[in-house]
Amino acid sequence: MDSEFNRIFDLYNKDIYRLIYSYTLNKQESKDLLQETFMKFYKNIYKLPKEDLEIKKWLFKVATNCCKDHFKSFWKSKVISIDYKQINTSYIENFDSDFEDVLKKLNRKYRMPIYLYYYEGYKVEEIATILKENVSTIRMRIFRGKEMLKKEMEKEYEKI
Amino acid sequence: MKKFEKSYKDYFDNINLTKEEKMEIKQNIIKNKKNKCIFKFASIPTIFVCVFLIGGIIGVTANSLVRQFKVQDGNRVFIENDKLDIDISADILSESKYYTREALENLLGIKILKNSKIDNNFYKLGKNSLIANENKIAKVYFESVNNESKDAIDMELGFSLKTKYYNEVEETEDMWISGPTNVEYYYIKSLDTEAVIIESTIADTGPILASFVYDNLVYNIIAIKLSYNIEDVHNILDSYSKS
Repeated sequence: MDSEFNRIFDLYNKDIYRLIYSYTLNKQESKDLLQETFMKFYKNIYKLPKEDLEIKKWLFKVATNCCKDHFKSFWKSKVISIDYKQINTSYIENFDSDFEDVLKKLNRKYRMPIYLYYYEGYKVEEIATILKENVSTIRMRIFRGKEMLKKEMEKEYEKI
Repeated sequence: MKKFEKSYKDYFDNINLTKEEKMEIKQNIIKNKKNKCIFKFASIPTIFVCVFLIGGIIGVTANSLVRQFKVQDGNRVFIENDKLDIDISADILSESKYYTREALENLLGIKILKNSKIDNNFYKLGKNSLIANENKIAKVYFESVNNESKDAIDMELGFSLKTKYYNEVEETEDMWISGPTNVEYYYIKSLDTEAVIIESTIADTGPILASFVYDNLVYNIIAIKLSYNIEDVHNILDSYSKS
């Protein structure tokens, strides 16, 4: 059991972590949510599909739910905002902070569809299944989200 | 490749965990699962004896103290407060209004604890905190604001309540800090009740949260370590009194 868990963790932790990060834009929260996602995987390891790519999709679905639940609570969002202001800046220094600023301006509901489309290369229909949304909703979010990001990027470049 | 897509890919290529962080997460998961298994198969008679002995000791020292919260994974607090039997239209509350403690007591028909540190301050409806059902108040959170500037104070004191109109499946108010924490229980003598305090240990700037339940209102404190320490939080907790 542990060897299979280790194999899948090593194979997909990066992808799941990046998906979660695209939503939270916070390193510590993303680590917590990654742990929660793989905890669920470990509990359900015998009930899951055999194909690795199907497991990856299952992990994406679980990670999405974990992220949504995480931000549902009023209390969590309140504490996160304080936590974020106080702690997170130290981590951001390691990343491309201009692009991070652009991403922060994008509403959370657009971030995951864009990540799954542009980074993971999933089709709109597959993203709709992973995120449990209508195909048309996902298509619209990818389109609008990209337009918003492009506009914000242009503004950032103008500043330079 | 287009500029947008390239920037996007480059950015996420750099989002990685270190080897140590991955190892830590893996170990936490495996350890957590194994601990649960060990507990599951532990000898029932041993547990029975322990519960009996511990129960006896606690019974002698703190027979009246009932904790209305559960701490999970060292950084999540689930509060167990009952729903209040109040029947008030959600329209009477507004995010743009400021309320004195007395005004809120009259408006909601409840008793709110005094705190000598903030008694001249106002309360404000927490942003997006009002949950209504059938246009009645189902759940709400009020936060303290500074008397003169009407800005949120740097240590926030607030309280929340839920009513019989609250019917979400998850019947808990929960409090959470990301990352490693210290958890402490603090006895508030003036109220004969216990508060839970969670302190972020990740940085000198992280938050300290405290929470307790009194008359089914959940009182919360959010302080930033940059300006306050645990003793300050103890002092604030000790400043609560019945009105």
